[in-house]
Amino acid sequence: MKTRSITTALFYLLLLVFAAWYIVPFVWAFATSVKQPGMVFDGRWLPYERTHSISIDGQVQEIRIVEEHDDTFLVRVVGNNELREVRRSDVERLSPNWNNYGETWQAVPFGQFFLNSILVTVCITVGQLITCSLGGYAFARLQFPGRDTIFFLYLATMMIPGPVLTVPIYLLLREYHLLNTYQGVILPGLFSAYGTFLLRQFFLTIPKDLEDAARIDGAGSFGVYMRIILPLSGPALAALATFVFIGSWNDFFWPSIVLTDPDLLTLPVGLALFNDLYLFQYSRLMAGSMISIIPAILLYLVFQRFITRGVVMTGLKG
Amino acid sequence: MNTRSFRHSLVGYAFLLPNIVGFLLFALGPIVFSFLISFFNWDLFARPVFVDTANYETIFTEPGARFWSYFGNTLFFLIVVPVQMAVALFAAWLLNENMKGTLFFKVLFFIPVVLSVVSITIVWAYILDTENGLLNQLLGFAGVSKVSWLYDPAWIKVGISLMVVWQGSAFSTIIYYAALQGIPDQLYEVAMLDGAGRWTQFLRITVPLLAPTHVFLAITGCIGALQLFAPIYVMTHGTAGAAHNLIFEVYGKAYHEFSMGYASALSWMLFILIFIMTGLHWRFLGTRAEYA
Repeated sequence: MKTRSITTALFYLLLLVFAAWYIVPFVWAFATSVKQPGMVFDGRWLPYERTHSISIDGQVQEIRIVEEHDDTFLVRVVGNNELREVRRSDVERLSPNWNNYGETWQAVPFGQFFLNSILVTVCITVGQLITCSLGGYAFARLQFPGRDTIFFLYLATMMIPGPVLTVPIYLLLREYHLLNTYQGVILPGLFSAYGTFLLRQFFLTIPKDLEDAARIDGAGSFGVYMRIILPLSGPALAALATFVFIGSWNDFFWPSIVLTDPDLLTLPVGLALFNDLYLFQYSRLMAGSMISIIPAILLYLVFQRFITRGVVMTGLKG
Repeated sequence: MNTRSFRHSLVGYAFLLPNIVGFLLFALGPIVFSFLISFFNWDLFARPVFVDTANYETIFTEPGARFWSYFGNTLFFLIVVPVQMAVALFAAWLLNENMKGTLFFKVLFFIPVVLSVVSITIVWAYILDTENGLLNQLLGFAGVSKVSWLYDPAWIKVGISLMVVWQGSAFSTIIYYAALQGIPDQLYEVAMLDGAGRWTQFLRITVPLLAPTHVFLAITGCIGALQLFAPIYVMTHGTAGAAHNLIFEVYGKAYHEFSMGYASALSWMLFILIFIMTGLHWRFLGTRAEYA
């Protein structure tokens, strides 16, 4: 019994170590994001503010800090030039600098980046669900010459890494003047061999009897697709939607190549630009990344089970 | 062909149409095109000039042994794969004990999966900051002197790898955790009767039974690690510096120098690399996976 409780304690300890490994970067970034100007590198986690006027003998006096010690400050009282030793807590007080967020939000068009990301991601997710489910249904259930050859080609292209495709797609978009447009980001995202494959595999597991029964009732192929296949494929469609949504929301490589106009940038590309503009201004940078991290975490907490299942089903890559 | 099956075929093609247009324009077409232009010199302005295999030869003969430098860097980042798998396997194993409060830890451990690499990298760039970064502060407590994680060519790849492991281990934890749930409890019960301790159970039952998962994570992990781009871009503000890898070379040649043929040839080198890597995995891990 005793060794068991020791083991349990050890397990909790290890879990806490892992928890720290994942949570400390966020806490630290958040703490930095609300620090007061001039106090960013004070080596403390909590945001302190220094006042320039303290109450001495019942009178509010303006002061200048001369020397810092561990618990005390040597300050010069501006009014009478007198040097005084005061407690650190008289001069410093906790005060999160929320303005940092407002100023960061204004520094680059974050609002626009969010809208761009939402537009691009929603179009790609909806579009891919449509093309992949139509194609997946055709491969799983419909008969037509060349079906299996075409499907084999799909599988073969899945072996080719994305960067091989980007140069020709870039040239294609350039030819049709789609560089630096939303369409340039969205169009290549509307198709996925992987998504088609994933849905085909799922559709194959749906009992054929259901489809036959619907056909006897007079349903055509489209009717079967709409009324049998799609409603029974909730988990697979949700998993693919999660996969595509997270992937395109966070995509950096492709949008960074296609988009250059600051008003068109998606959130990750905009953040990278912001990162270049505010070099070493860490409280700003942390506020900027928090602006993108906090909504993602909140969404994740709401849809946690759902997202985890989607990740497992699709083998989503980070 | 009778009219009925002809009509059936038309229906099939109709369903496939939007999908296959995308396939031709954004998958098959680009692959063929990329292969063809890898034998041409093309700077987007003048006409493409056929150069035979010169682009492929240039990759290896560029002055200053450039190829070996970025090729070496590309391979270096493979180090993240075993590390993140080990971290994840251990974390998933702890979660699978189903102790009180596991849900909290589970939710926490999975968070990095949904976050954008760019925002996480910005946070990590500060963690790795030489003067004020968290990592150097922590190492300072252990008496280690400050390391210039992002500016010392010897350390930058390690710094980037740390961040990649941090995010990648979360994804691997989810996958391992799901796989662990599939291992029947009876196996552990039998082992316990035989007097096997927790650690022995882990090594003798958990690790071998997860073989297919190891292979899956090793392959997807390597494919990802060979194509690392966003973390390097953000940490180095687009310069890559000493972390310059194959993808960066493609990126630079294609979108800064507009050497489209050469960039395509380079991108096929990446394909070959991934192909070999995946083949090796099947060869050495795949056979063992069949036992499970």
